[in-house]
Order: sequence, then C-alpha cells, then structure tokens
Amino acid sequence: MLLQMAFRNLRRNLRRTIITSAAVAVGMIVLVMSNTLRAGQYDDMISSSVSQLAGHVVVQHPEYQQEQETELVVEDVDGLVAALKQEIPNTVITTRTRLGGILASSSSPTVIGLTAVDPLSEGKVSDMADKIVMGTWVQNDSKSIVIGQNMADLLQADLGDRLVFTTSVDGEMNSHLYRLTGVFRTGAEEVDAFVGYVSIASVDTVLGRPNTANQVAVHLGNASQTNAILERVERVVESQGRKDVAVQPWPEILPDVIAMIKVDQVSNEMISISLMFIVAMGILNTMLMNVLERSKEFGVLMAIGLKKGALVRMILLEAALVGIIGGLSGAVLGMMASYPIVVNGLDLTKMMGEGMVINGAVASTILYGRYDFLWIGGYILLSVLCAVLSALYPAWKIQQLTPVDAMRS
Amino acid sequence: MSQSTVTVTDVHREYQQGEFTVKALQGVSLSIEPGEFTVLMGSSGSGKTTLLNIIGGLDSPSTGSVEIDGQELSSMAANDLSDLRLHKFGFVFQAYNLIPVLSAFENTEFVPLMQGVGVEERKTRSMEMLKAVGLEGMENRLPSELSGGQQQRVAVARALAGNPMLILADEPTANLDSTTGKELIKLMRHLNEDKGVTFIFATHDPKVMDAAKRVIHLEDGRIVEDERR
Repeated sequence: MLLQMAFRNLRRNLRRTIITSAAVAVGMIVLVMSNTLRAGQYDDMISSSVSQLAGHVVVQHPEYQQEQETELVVEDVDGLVAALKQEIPNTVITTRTRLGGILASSSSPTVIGLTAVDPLSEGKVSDMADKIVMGTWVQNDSKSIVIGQNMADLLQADLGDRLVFTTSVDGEMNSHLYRLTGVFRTGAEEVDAFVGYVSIASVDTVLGRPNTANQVAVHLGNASQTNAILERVERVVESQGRKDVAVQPWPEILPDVIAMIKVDQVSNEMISISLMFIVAMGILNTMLMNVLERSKEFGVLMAIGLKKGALVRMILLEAALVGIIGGLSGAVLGMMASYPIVVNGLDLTKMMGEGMVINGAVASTILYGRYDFLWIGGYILLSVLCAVLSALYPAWKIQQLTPVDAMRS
Repeated sequence: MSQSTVTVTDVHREYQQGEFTVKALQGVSLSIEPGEFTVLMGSSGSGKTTLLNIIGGLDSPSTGSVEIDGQELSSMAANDLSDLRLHKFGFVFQAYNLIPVLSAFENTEFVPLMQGVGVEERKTRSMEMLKAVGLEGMENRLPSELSGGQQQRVAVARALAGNPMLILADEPTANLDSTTGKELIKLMRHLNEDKGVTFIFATHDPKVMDAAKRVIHLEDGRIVEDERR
C-alpha cells in the first residue's frame, strides 16, 4: 500500500515529479556520456600501451623494468618463445629489444629510439604496421628499417636509401647499415620524428648478444585472461629453470598508465559526486516543498495509526521512485546520446592531429566510447541514493511533528 | 461494574503563544462508559477539540492523566500510541481528511490493512462499511470525485472499518449542509446502537446535541455541565 500511495502521490503532482526526475535524468545523461567516453578512452590507452610498449604478460630481466638498459636481456629467447607457443598456442608472442643511437643518412644524422622486433608477430599486435604510408612494414631480414615520416623528412631519406645506425655497446661504438623499407605516420610528432623499427635479428650483431631480447611478451585476445595466462607463463619459466627473469602482468609493466587512469577516475568521480550533489539540492528543495504542503495529510495518517517509521518510509520511497525514474530514464537517454560516439567515435583529429602520445604509446585521436554497464548501474544507484538522502531532512521534519501539529499546519 | 472506555482525571493543557500562556483545559475529569454517544459542547475556544485530541492520544496533557480501556496514555511510547489509535480508535475530522490519492474503498481499507487484517476480510469489511454509510457503487471514486457529505461518509466508514471501541469525531457536520448533516448523525447513532460503538463528538451543532445520550458542556477549559439523557 505504501508503494502504491507513493506512486499515486508522484502521479498526483505529475508536473513536479517530471521536473524533479528530469533534474536527476539530466545529471545521469552527463554522467553516462562522460563515463562512456572515458571507458572507451581508457580501453584505448590500455590497449595501445599494452600492444606497443608491453604485452599482457611480459618476461624480462628482473631489473629491466627499473633500469630500462638495453644490456638487461632475457637469454635463449628462441627456447622460451617455442616453449610458450606450445603451452599457450592461441596467443601472440612478441620479442623486443630497445636501443638508442644515431641514425644517419647521406645528408644528415638524427637521434633515434629503435625498437627491434619480430616483424611478423609485432605486425599482429601493434597497429604501427597499419600506419605505414610509404613502403612496407619491417622485413624479416637484417637490413630493413622503418622510420617515422618526420624523421624521413629530416634525413631526406627515400625508400631504398642507406641509413647507418650507430650505438654504444659496452663503451664501444657499433654501427649497422640498414635500407629504408617503410615510413609510418602516427600523427604524433614525438613518435614520427624519433621512433624506428628493425628486425630483432638485425640487432643481434650490433649488440653482440644473439638470441636475446629485453622483453618477451604474450599478447592475449582478452585482457581478462591475464592472470590465468600469467600462471602458465610462470610455469614455463620455472620448468626451464630460469632464475634471471621476472614474469609480470601488464599493470606492473605500465604503472603510469594505471596511475593516469586512476587519477582521471578520481577526478571524474569527484565531478560526478559534485554534479549529483547539485541534483540532490534540487530534489531536496522539491521534496521539502512537497512534504510540507502535505503535512496535514501526514498528520491524518499519523492520527489514524500510521507509525512515524512507516511515514518516513513512504516519503523516502517517493524520493527513491523519483531517483529510479530519473536515473533509469537518464541512463537510457545518456546511452542513446552516446551511441554515435560508441559506433562512429568522436573525431578529434582536426583539434589534436592524427595521433596523440599517452605515456609513450600512440593512441588514436578518434575516441570511441564504450558502455560500462557496471558504472552506469552504479550511477543509477547513486541517483537513487541522492534522491533518498535529499528526502531525509523533509522526512525528519515531518517526523518531528505531533499528529495535531501536522494537521494544523 | 464494567471498566470505563475513557477516564480523564484532572487534565490541564496549556499552550505557549508568544509571551502568553493559553489555558485550554483546566482540571477536566470525566469518564465515558462503553456504548455511550457523548457530545462535548461548547463555543469556539472552550477546549472541546483539545480534550478530544488528548483523549485520542493526538496531543498530551500538561498535567493529569488519561486512561483508555485501563491503559494510561502518558506512559506509552509513540509507537504504542500509534498502535492504540490504530486498533482502538476511529477518527472523523471536520475537514473529512481522506487520503486524496486513495479511492473511497482504499481509504476505508487503509485502517484494516495497517492492522494486518487479511485481504478477504478487509475487502468484506470495507464494502460492508461503505454499504452501511450508503456509498455502495462509489467505491472506486477518489475523494475529489465525491461531494462533501459523501467524503464525510467515507471518513465514517474508514473510522468504523478498523472495528474500534471508540470513535472520536471533531465537528463532523461543520462542513455539511443541514440535510446531509442530519443523515450523517442518524447514521452514526444507528451504528452506535447497532454495533455498540462508543462515540465522542466535539461540536456546537445542535443537531448532534439532539441525538446525544450525554452532553458535556465546556467553558474556558472547564466542564460546566454534564447532562445524561
């Protein structure tokens, strides 16, 4: 009966109910749209960082994470990769070595951050292979090099040109001759002017450490399997008796990405709470008016024997219904409003260029949204909670009155 | 000797209005026996509504005591008072005071529902009461769809539906035309005789006084005459 009365009371003053619910709904629309965009952005940040800078599970020298020194390598990479492929066949395994040096053309030199990769597996996980604008992705030979467009322009290098890479190994300068086989463009200048890719086989000779890599990374189709795969990789490493490697999940490899997302989430949550607080103030005002206008009615209910607790429940129930109506309709409208962003993405290329570097990885400037139903459900609960909390004061105020006082007012 | 339904002993009620203390009741004592049809008469400000509210547990006396069916009200907690009102009292107010969002049937059903009466019995009892007050066929109308007299009949039906031992009615005919008022009094008198329900009215309507078995006159918060008929 209380629920029925609460419904009917809301229907009785339909315009007020609609306005109050609309306030909640508007808050919800903003929250859902913002969350959908952020969820997509976080996904993109994680997937681009994981694919370009790590893998879901990474095997590396225990000190490499801290020191990032080229000399800190995993030995017998071929043996490890073969064993991993056997243990977890439906995954992509990449091997990477990173080294800095000078790349020189016949006309000029420039500083380069070179990533030596297994071209085939790298092409499957990193979208760099899709950003080739001239030539091809790295060939599986000791000569092929792919560089960013800005660097190619700086070096005035064309496809097929000779480029000499020089780096310091154990205090001695080593050089290797490459031929430019491809040019990529990410749209992020710091990447296009600084980064290059070669075959990992080609740096074996430069570094004098064949069959080694800084990282052996396992890439999964579904990040949620990370922990399960981590255990299997650990078993493989253990079975090979390797003591000089660490097996780490991607959050340990990319702590900055996690920190960045957490900071963003906290600021987003604060904005959400502030927004819902403003909405709650609006509801408080309406609920207070609504309750005080009906105090005579509440007095009668108390007089005929309705306990004060039941009266408070009825008032809170009305507020909760406003929260549910506003929250649900706002969630649906917010999802509808976000739908174009989920399907087509939000194109920021004119504002931000074709790519943006987030923590060293190139992310797209076309931002795709993703419905995060857990958060959306949480927001609906938050809106109900705000509505109920905002009705506490009016409910308390009525509860303070005696039936006679309430009927007189 | 049967126990009194209501025993009021030396009740005083004072209100503070700004700097002034208003003495609404000054040492009122009375007892109401089961099945009585009593009218509290008096001019405006004589204290009859205050006395009715205190008997009904809607207000508390400043001093003195009120016993209902042997239970002292001042010693009861708020929830126990609510229970007492729910199970033993029926209220009829001057301004009908129906719940606007509930139909005539639902308003009548509300008290037995809160009492925890089962669906079937609730329905039977509510329909019976609405029939008794002559509102058969109007069960589904909202208060806004009923005339003043019809709303007051619903209020009487609601007051009776909980099978109370005592009905307290504050100026029940004040907002009704003369004919409707007479009909309502006749109805309540009939219910008093037929069902043995005790009624206490606060009124200055002579029609109600004419129907009363006992008339208590109040003046300035004191009983000045207690006339049994």
